[in-house]
Amino acid sequence: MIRLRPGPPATVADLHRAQQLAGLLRGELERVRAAAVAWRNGLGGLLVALVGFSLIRGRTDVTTLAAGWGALVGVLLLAALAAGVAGALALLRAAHGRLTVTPVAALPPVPLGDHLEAVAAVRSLRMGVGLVLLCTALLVAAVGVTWYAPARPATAAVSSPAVGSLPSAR
Amino acid sequence: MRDDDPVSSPLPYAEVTDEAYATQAAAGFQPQEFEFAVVLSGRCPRCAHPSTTTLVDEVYRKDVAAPDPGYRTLLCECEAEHPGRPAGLRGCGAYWTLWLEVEA
Ligand SMILES: [Zn+2]
Ligand SMILES: [Zn+2]
Repeated sequence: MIRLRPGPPATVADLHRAQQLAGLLRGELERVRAAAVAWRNGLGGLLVALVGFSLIRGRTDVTTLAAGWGALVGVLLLAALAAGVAGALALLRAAHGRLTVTPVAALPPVPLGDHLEAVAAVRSLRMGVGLVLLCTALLVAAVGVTWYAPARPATAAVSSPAVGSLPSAR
Repeated sequence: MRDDDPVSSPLPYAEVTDEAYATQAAAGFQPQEFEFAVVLSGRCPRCAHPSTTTLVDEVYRKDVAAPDPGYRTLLCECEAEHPGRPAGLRGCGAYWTLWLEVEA
């Protein structure tokens, strides 16, 4: 239970802080959404470029790698893809809201409902950014393995010059 | 809480406070607790319109807020028109402070 007691005489500074807070609360959800959309656009583009590039790159390179290393590249790419998809979903969630229906009776009053949604959106935004960065790190690791892992002995004569020249070409 | 109807000629907007506002609001406002916030609703001590204030612990923003002094400052946030109000603001301009005490 919360009990209310009269506070000290209010000052103009109190008034201005309260006005600022009320204004921030009213626009909060819009600001979080705008930030999420900006992240989604930026990181989403990066993600698509990286996934596309790495899958094509990885495919051709994996066949030239020693058996265990090829499997490692596959696992890394799969993990990168999973992190990327989860990150993209979290960013979408932050930018556009949850895809669930809330019973009207359970809804808190409007400014508070927006605040709760904004808090949830900030959480999704942070998670999405983290997952996209994780996805990027995994992709870099996978591509790195295709460059530096030992080549398969039988096909070494054909493909090792190409594999060997890649790091210096970049 | 005052039960009389709001005055018929609109009260002009004025950023004013009075110790009586805090006393009246402390007696008349109803607190409602939610997971991350407290919603206070009652009648504004100045204009007598219904007013609802949401108090939260954190707001998403880019710069750092001034630390809270412990008490909360409430504004009239009524939906009515008060002539002379600057754009972007709500209510009649009345403000006061309250302590929120959580009772076990
Ligand atoms: Zn008022
Ligand atoms: Zn009013």
